[in-house]
Amino acid sequence: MMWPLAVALAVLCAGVHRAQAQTLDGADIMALAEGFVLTADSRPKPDPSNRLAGNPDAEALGEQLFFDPGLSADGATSCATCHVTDGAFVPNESRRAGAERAFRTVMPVAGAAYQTFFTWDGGKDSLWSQALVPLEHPDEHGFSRTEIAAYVLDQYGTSIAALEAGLAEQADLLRGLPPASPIGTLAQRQAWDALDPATRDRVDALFVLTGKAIAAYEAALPPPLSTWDRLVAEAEGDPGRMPQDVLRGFTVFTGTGRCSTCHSGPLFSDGDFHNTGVPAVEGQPVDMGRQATVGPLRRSPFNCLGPHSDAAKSDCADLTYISMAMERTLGTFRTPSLRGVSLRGPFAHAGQLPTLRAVIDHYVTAPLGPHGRMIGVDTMSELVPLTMTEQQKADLIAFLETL
Amino acid sequence: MKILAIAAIGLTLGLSDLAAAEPVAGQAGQVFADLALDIAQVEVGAFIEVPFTLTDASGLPLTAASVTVSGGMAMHGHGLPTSPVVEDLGEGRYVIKGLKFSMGGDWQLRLTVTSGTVIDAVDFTFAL
Repeated sequence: MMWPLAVALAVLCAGVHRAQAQTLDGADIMALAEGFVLTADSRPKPDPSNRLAGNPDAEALGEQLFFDPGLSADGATSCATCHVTDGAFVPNESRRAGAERAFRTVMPVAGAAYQTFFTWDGGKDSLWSQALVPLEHPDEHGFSRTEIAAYVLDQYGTSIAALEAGLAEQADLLRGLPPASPIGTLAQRQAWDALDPATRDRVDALFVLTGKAIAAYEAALPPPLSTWDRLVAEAEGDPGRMPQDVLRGFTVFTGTGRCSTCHSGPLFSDGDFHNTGVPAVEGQPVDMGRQATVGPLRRSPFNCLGPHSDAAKSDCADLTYISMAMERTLGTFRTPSLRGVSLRGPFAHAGQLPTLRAVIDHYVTAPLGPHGRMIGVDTMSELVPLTMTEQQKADLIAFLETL
Repeated sequence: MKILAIAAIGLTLGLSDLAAAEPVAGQAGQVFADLALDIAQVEVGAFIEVPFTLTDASGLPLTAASVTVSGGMAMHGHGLPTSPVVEDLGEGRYVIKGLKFSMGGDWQLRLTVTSGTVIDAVDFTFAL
């Protein structure tokens, strides 16, 4: 067949498909809704890079580490400090540590194991390697790597010995080390360089085990089932049993609003990275998003292909074939899950959009964003302006509030 | 109605199953690519490998060609979510590895082929 014809037909057929999305009948809309529902038995894929994933003893250790404020320089900062609000796994934005930390909003932990890349810019490719970052970050836990190794041996030596017998040996050698880290202050980096390679390896092994235990715990935290899940289940395919504003909002979400283009599936995320033209934070440099981290990720000793990973090379396709292309990285950020979205805020990677209504207005107006002019083009944003009535916006918010 | 009938044929032969389509000519007419990609079997977000063959303008296998893969979604202004690579299987047969489509919608895929004096680009467009 002639391909120019095929190209024309592709456009024609896709156009028909989109038009149909606007006029789905009741049965179709409920069938579509089923694709956005999480069930109690939903589980993320196992992480082959973490041999401790699914290990109950590691999960128990990880839970203790997650809630332990002693795992920090000030003795008052735990993972839970920013990832738990009022006893629930809801991001807590009340603590604005330093400027660098405040530059990004907190991401949810429950359900995070469904992702392939982690943090807003995808700078890590496993839950365990992500968990290591805040431990050493000066604006978060602020510990050095040697302090982490010594602390976990002191506090959790028995549990660590049960998981990795060799790691808990000769603990006294580690307790006497100065604060040292390859990414810390100048003094910490110099102290790290002064350590012999065998000691550095030992510290790294304990550091990695800490991250893998925390990740094992986090991976066992499913995203909570939502009002939306319940409504769709109870409707049993009958759209008349759904709250009509919620159903209309879902129609906007999957149609006019084009939200489901990226916020797809039961997690409401395609797991991919997009530039949506979000403005820079006033007084802050333009955030380069994934472009700033994709190179370091490929070089990181803690990535899927690195010496601390338990994965086979064939398990690391997402890293092996990662795109470095400008349009895939410049100012792009990971599509966040929308589960529990109404419980958190502000929105966007640095909290630039204070409310869900502000988010919707951003997508409707589709500003050019700050990244295009950096490379001499109009925009790098994928957004196109939308037409949406006030009623549609209200319905969309009603839908989002059920997630 | 004729347009709809043609559209249906096009959907069957050209869009839902690229493996059933005839080889596609490059922009310069120097290369023809036959892509074994069954769109109906493509799972969004999963890695796939796509075998293909290359022939020259006289219909002979194009061997030892250098082939790069690019593409994306024009409507969304972004390229492929990954950086696929092409492996040469010999005798004009090749395979794309590391290819993934991150969402439903209209996708474009381009094979840029270089072999001796032959330089051509073969484009595919399909909807997931």
